[in-house]
Amino acid sequence: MNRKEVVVVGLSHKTAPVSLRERFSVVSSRLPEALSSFAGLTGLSSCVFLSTCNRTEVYTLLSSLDGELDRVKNFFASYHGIEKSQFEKVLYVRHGREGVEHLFKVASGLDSLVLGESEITGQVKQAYETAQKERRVEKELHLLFQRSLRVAKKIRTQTGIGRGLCSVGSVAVEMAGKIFGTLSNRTILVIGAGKMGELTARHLKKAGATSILVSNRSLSRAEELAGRLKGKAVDFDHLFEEMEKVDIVISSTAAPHPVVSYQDIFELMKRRHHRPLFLIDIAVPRDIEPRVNQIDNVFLYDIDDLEKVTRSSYEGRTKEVERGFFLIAEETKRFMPLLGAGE
Amino acid sequence: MIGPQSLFCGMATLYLASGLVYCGYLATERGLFLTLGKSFWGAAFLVHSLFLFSAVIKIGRLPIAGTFETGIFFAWAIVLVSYFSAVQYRIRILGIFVFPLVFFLILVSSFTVHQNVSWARSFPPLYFGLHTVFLFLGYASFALAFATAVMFLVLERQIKWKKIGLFFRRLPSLELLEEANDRFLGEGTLLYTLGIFFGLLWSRKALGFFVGKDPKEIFAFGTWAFCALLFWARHSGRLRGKKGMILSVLFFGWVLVTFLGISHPVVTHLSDSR
Repeated sequence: MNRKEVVVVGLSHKTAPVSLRERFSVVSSRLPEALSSFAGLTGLSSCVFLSTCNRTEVYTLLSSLDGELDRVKNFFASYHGIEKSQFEKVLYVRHGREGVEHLFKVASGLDSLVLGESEITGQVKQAYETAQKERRVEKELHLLFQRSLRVAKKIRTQTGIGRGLCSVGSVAVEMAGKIFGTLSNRTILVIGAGKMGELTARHLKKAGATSILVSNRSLSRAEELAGRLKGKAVDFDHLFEEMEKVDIVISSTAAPHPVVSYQDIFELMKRRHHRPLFLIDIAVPRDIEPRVNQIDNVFLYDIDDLEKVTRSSYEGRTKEVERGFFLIAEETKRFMPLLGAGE
Repeated sequence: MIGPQSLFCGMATLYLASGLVYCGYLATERGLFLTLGKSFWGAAFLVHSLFLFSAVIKIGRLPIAGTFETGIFFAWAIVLVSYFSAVQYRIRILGIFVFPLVFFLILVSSFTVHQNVSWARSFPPLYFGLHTVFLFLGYASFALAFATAVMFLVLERQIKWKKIGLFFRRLPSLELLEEANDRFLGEGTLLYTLGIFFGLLWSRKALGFFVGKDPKEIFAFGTWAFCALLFWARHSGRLRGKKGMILSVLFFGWVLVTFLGISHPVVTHLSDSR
């Protein structure tokens, strides 16, 4: 491996539990700093940092897997403050053709927790643009990321992978339907003003939910999102008072620690006279303490739980997924010569 | 002319067939199985009704005396109430959850028949008839409350523990199941109360006193107190969701024990006086 090759190093929902993934997560506002640390600690100039709820990956160019790969692993250890031994087993490395194919799958939603979901394409695009702004993208990575976005579009239009339960939102609608029956006259509270929370709320609204409340530490951002969702912004300090009235809570803040504890919900349920409460925690790190699910009439779904649900919806889309994989294999074959690499 | 034994065997066979076909539906989710299951279930109910009708013609009263008669009548009342409920709540698979109970009652009843199906000849007075009919309809409502509680617990477990299995797609929402359970408990409590009221009137007229020291009466009041307490706790919001459903299941267990285990083997002044 003398010529520089595309290498991806990372961990995802397929290899690591959410408890470990949340420690690796990098919020979008800190991506420029992460890119700069990567360059400083590894001495590698080209890098795209992709960090979502389900994965943290570094795309870079290496000329030797032996020495340079260790530098990348050391970066993960030192940047996230985690012993290498704690994550080495769950870390995957794909290079050359495998690395290219991997990004095509990721961008198309074929490696996603919610198979076929479309949000990931936007996240890949954002990761690429951030790296580009920070001048961390060399020619090979430019070609690769631009092609991956085109492949994602092609797969979405030429296969039916987007049908059925293929987004956090559609899973949320399905589960809410099983708890409440109809969503009409239901109130949703969105905690945090992130994109994923907004998309999930939109799905629920489309399914009939009538009222949307938005709460965020920054009231102006809450008002902004509430405006887009035609909802109402509420004060973050009165979060639990608002939760007494709602049926569904979507939490997706960037807080490093849980914002909703077991005790909070335990007390809240008494005030709600134990009316059912559906909590969707799509934040990484998680916003809601997992043992909240033990409380009667509370149904908590975090990002890992959503995977379990979507698995059941794969059945009807197996052929479409297979077709997606076939297209990716073809696209990878066509793309490799552009990187100056053979088969 | 078809004899009562042929009708009994036909009814049991049709119920069993519907249960098996319903299982096929659960496994495959093919609409054909559901349609077939419903058809068998309907045919079984028709034969069941014919069987009871033939008994009424033969003995000149409702067949509600002794374990055999009451078991068969109880099963019939459950199927009757489940029909209306399935239509009202659009719970397509209610029959699947009611079937084991109906079949169990028919099976238990059949063990009490020796050689030939025979009907006891005695004619209960009006109050006694009203007493037993209301009690049976009350019991049938409790049975339906039990069925919806089991459905709720199955679905709640699947949603809570993210083990989306066989019943997930086939069951209605938790809210609808809880609403149906509340309704059955409420109706059951009302019917059971009426049953006890007419029982007291009958007792006064036939025996000269309202309440004796009969085990049946004591357990009947115990059942009434249990269901009234359960109904109140559910409606006051103290027992929502899983806990309420578990109590609903336990309550029906109590009803079955008092119905099969205590009411019938015990020969009391009430049984003698009929």
